[in-house]
Amino acid sequence: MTKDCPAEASKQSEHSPSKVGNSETLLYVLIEPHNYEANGISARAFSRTELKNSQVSISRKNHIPRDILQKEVIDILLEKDQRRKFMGVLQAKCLKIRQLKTEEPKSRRAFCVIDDGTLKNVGHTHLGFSHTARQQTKSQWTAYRENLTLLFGEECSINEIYT
Amino acid sequence: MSATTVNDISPIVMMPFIVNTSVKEYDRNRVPNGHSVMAALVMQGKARDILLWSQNLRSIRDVGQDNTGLLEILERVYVSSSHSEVLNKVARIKSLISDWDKAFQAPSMKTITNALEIAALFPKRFPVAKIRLSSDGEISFELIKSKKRAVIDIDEDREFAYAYFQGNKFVAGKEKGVLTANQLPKDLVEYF
Repeated sequence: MTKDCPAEASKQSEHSPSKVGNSETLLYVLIEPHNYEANGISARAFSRTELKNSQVSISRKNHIPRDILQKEVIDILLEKDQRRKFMGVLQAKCLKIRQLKTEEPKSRRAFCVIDDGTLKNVGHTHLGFSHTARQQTKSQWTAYRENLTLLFGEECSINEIYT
Repeated sequence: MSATTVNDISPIVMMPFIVNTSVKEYDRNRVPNGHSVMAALVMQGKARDILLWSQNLRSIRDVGQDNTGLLEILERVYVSSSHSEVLNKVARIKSLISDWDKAFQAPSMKTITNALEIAALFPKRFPVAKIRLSSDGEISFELIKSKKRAVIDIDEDREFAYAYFQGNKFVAGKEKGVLTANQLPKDLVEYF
């Protein structure tokens, strides 16, 4: 684990309650246009650039109360453009993300989940390609991203997430 | 589309406009004959960019001065294809997403050109691609046919990425996706 994701071995942010545990549920907020669909063109949830730079922002459900998710994640994203709309939340178990492997070698991790708590949002976390995955081919990145998208599944409402 | 716009875009982008927007109006008002279209297309492009179209362009040249013949050729080659709408949308992608906010980087002309080159290579038996965009300006084609799913990711590079669903997960394409090869990777073609 530490070879592919050395930053997972210890807590990275002083604001984080802990490093991210395998049993945790992770949330990814969908905001238009990141989930926009118009004229038959839709947007992808995870950009390859963000995955390569480990800049995909997700939230730890156990460490982000509903009001903080609304205020520190959803509202901030919506404020950037008045046309934006909140579309829902994707969720996945951290263990499942960490179980996604690279194709070659097969035993290596494809993704890392690293705590990045902030003063106002201690549950903030970064998701990105592992060190091994970053060295691989573009087609492998495509496969890994699709598998990640499959894992997160369909969007849920906030009510569904917090009940 | 105005005549001045022709000079701003690559020839590979021009073709779907001609076919899918208002061919007759365009032809009648702005392009006097098939050879004029040829000139507009070839002038702005690198040889590599128009390689894909060379056979079709030769067919157009053979049509001579008859505009109706030119339209028939274009329509036969592109409009009759189930993928023409994909070509059309990709060519107009900047206007189609003009109301998306600034956090979403629009694909560059190079990426659009690359996407058009790939879409032009889709065999007729391929499912019609869904177009998806990433916030970093990447264009993706998602191809779904029954339980088969493939994704092609395109950016500014001459190398594109592809993967398809096999077993219970997506796997990377076996070949290197190279645009200059003028053909899709064999494993991708055989997948459908």
